[in-house]
Amino acid sequence: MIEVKNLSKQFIQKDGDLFTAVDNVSFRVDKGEIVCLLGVNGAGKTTTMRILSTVFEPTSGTAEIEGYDIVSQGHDVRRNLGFLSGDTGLYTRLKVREFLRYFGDLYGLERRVTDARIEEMADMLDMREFLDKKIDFLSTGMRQKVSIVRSIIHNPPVMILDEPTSGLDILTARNIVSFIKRSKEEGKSVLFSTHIMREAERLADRIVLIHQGRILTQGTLDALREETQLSDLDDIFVYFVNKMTDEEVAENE
Amino acid sequence: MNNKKVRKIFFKELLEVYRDKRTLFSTILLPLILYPVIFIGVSSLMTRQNQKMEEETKVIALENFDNYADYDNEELDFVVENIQQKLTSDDKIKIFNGESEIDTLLKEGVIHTIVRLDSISFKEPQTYYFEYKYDGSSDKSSLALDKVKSIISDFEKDLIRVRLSKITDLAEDDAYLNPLSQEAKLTNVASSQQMLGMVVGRLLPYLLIMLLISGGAVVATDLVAGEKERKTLETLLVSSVSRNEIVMGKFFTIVTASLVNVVINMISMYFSFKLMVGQSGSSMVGANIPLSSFVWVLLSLLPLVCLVSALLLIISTYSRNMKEARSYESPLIMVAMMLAMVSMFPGFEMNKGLALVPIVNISLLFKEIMLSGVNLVHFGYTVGSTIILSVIAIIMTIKVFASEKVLFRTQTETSFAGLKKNKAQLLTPAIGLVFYMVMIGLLYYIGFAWQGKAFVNGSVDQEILMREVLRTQIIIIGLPVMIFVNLLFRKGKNSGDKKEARKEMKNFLRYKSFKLSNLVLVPLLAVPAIVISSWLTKIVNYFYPIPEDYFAGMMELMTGKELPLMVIIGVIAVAPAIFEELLFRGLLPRFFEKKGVWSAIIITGILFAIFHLDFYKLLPITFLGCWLGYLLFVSKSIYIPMLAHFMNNFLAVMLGQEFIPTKYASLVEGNDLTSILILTGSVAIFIIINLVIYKTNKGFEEIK
Repeated sequence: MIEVKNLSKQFIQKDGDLFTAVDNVSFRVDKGEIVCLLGVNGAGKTTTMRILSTVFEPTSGTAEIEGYDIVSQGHDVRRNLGFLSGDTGLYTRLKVREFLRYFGDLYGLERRVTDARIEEMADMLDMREFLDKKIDFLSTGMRQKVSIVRSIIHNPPVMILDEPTSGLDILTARNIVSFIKRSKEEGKSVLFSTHIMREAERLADRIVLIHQGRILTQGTLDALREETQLSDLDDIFVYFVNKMTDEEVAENE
Repeated sequence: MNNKKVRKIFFKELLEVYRDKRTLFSTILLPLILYPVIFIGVSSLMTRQNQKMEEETKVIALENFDNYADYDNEELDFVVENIQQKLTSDDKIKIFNGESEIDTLLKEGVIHTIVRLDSISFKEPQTYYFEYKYDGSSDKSSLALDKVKSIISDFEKDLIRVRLSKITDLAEDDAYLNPLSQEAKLTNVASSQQMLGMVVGRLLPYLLIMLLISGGAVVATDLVAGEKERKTLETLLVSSVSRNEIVMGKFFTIVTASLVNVVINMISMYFSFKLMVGQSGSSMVGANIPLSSFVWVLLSLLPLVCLVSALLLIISTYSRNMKEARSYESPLIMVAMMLAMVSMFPGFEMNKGLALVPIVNISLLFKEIMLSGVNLVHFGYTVGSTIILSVIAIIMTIKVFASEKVLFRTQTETSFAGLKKNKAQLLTPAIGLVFYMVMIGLLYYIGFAWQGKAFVNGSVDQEILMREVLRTQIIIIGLPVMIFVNLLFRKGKNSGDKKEARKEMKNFLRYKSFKLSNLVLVPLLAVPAIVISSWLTKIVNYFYPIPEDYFAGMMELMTGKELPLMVIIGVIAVAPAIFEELLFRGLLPRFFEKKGVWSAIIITGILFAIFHLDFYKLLPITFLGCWLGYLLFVSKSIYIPMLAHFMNNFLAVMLGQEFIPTKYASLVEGNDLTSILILTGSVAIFIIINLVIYKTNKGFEEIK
């Protein structure tokens, strides 16, 4: 379970001004639920997720993962979290198996457990043939699979995946999408982000629309459709962005 | 901290480091091949080259000998004939036969040495004056000179024998000609081991320290900056290891890589060196450095490895990519290189003071171990101080790694447009340091050149010196500050704007009113301050004795043409109170005060001391600088530190010019009870009055 409470993050820009990347964001992801953070590039999705992964500290507000506070109980948070983003690269000088075992070790798993997990995931994601190759020689799709296995090697109850399908071909993307669905069936909480509306439509139980660091709205796709009387998620997104801009203009006047 | 996880990180990093073929090649394979090639190849090449040069025929020209051919002087004929004959008969020497410009030919390298029979004094006993001309820049010419000189001095004995034989029959006995040197032997009391130690002790410390840093640097760059570049750092951070575990794992990797580099290089060097010594047949044959020496060396090396590794890790953590890390490493490597070089200076020996200077201490300790075995006191000082420094460095590394601002430092490109918009941005510690370094550069390259004019023929012209010191104060110190401050506050062209800007500038530099009580209290502190700073000088002097000739040079300043006292006071006391204060209490604190008053006081105090470019005065001037900074922030006005600075320099001038009887100065100098009482009293007065000043001014200025 993920519970985000009034989370904000500010960065100091080069001219000394403050830039608010995440502005008072609150939402939750229940057990067995897939929630999609939907927004354009630079909307604050990645920053939010990086805060949840304990890489960044929030400026204000906090969040809990499986009941552990991300600020004060970082270690327990990381133990219960599988995290994947564009910034979690691979050690290319290692072989796939070495790499996965290394992270198994870091999570304190026994070698036996790690190996069993590697076997299981290799079957599921069809990666048996390159398990003993150096990561250097793998294609983008293969690497993304390795990344996914890395993130969930310790079988965490919560998964946060930042654009897990970006840059992948259709087959690999489908492979990963069905993997996310399966994780939900196993009772995991999944938070994922994307700017591909179709993916959000297909996967998410609930959608959180985020723009310029702020949450526009959140709810199930059906609820959003009902509210806006629009069917296409793209249109729904644009509707809410316009609404926000209008409100801002009104505020300023 | 989980040791198992630290170990896992450590082993994985090592695996990655040594799986990289380039690292493997440059840290392991290259040294194994390079040293044998360098040592043996170069040394045999050198020996061969020397031999070849010695065997080569040298061309000698005889000058002016013909002018003495027709003198009808028996001894002269004997001398000329013999010298010519002896030189000709040497098969390595060819006599030049030609009339052309022999001096030009010498320069061109055709002739190697010219022997000129310059003149002869015919008064009995006759004396022959020779002149040897040679080209000092040519090895061959120098060899030829030695050869000719030795032939002629051999002949000198023959001549003496001839002269003696005219007086006595005993001249045939060699003892007449060699009364002292016949049986003289050279006995070197140093064992071959010590001879080896001397050679190794000079070179090895420098080499080891450089190897250790360069070996560590390659790995350190890769470990954090490299991970940032390859985007793998976050992968590590989101896994269930703590940042401390990551730091320690990486730290031990760098330590190991440095040690591996050192050990491999040492082994390769050791064998190559041994082979080389064996070939050269020198006095070091059969010598061996005892294994215990190497053990001591390695033991004392460990804390330094830790210190350097931690520093490299900090640099790597701070850098955004590997290129940046490498450019930040280079100053560290340069400083270390210069410090490590002391082992190569002749006559530089270990003492307790030097044992506290990082890198210098290890370098000298190695030399000492190699020459005379380990001195446990020096070993303790060196290792102890380095351990303390490395613990501090490791704690700093952990702090730095935990800081989001450092670990995920973003590009801070300073654009001129942005600076124009918000000039307050210029007041950061980094820009303050850059400004300060420019000032030091100006002082060193221009100010010192000006002041150097006063040193004529080994003495000091006081008049010129005073004039140039004043010029330095105004143009090198005062002017740049005013230009910078003007840039900060420049506004429009009209008079109202100008007036406004001037007001802001005065406020910025703290030319402000102050409590009148300061005018009474601060002068009371002048004498205690001078007593304390002279004690600090004594403490420095105890650890790092000031060289005699240095002191003599200082005294020189006071001699020379007498100047009116008012001029000296004006230049030495008034000008610094105006211009140095403008820089160190006016502008510089503004760069540092946002981090707190105390850090601004201490930083500007240290910068003030370094600015005097005098190692022996570092500590006392730091003390004075900090005190002046304290007065600035307490009185909230620059006028008070200006007054204190003036009082201090004024008293120094009075002491120097002996307007204050020397008996007062000597009261502070000794270590007896009186002077210790004076110190204690001074410290007490200093603290109490400063506290009173703090109270009456209602504490420090509040910084916005």
